[in-house]
Amino acid sequence: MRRQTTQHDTVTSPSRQINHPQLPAYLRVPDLKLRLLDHYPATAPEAPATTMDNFSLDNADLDKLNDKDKAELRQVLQNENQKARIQSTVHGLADVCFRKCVTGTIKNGKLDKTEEGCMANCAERFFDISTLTMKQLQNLRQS
Amino acid sequence: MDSETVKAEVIRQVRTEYAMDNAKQLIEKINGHCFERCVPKPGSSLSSGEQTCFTQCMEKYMAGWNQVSATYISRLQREQ
Repeated sequence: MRRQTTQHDTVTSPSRQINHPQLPAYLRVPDLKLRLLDHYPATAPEAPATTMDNFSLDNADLDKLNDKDKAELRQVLQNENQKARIQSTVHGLADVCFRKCVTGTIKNGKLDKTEEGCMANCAERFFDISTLTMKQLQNLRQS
Repeated sequence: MDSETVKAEVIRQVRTEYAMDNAKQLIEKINGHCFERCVPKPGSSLSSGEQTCFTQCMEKYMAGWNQVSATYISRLQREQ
């Protein structure tokens, strides 16, 4: 089925500004592009932008962090970042799978058994496809 | 401000930003899908039928989101 173009397709741009210019180097998360070849699929069918435009801590405050807190903060930010990436993938998945699985008239707010199974299969098969892509790319690199 | 306070504040702001971003993404998707499904021919006002459809569509989308999320995350954990 061809994807219908809806308004929300154009709203999200691929620019991710997780590393706000005001964040000192030790607080920056690694470049997201470098993680494309991680073991698990980090790319959603549609990866929406994460903006931190309103981040307003000034550098003077951040200088007060001691080494222990810096390390802890780095860890927390890494975890939050990973969580956000997984969540982004799930948003993309839910989008695609809803379109594929919920095709009948909407009569109530619950997923029926067929839809539920379809959504689960959809997520599983997307995972298979991402793994396959990684494998194929690795084969290409080695040959 | 001492180190502890700065740290807590950074964490709080980062979590708020991510939560806002997550909510924004969800709202965009729900609006996109449910508007298309429930308002095929926009009239001069939103009918009660359209509103009911929209509410149900929203609940359905969130149920679907949770289903996909649970499946995807359990698969991630299994394969890591």
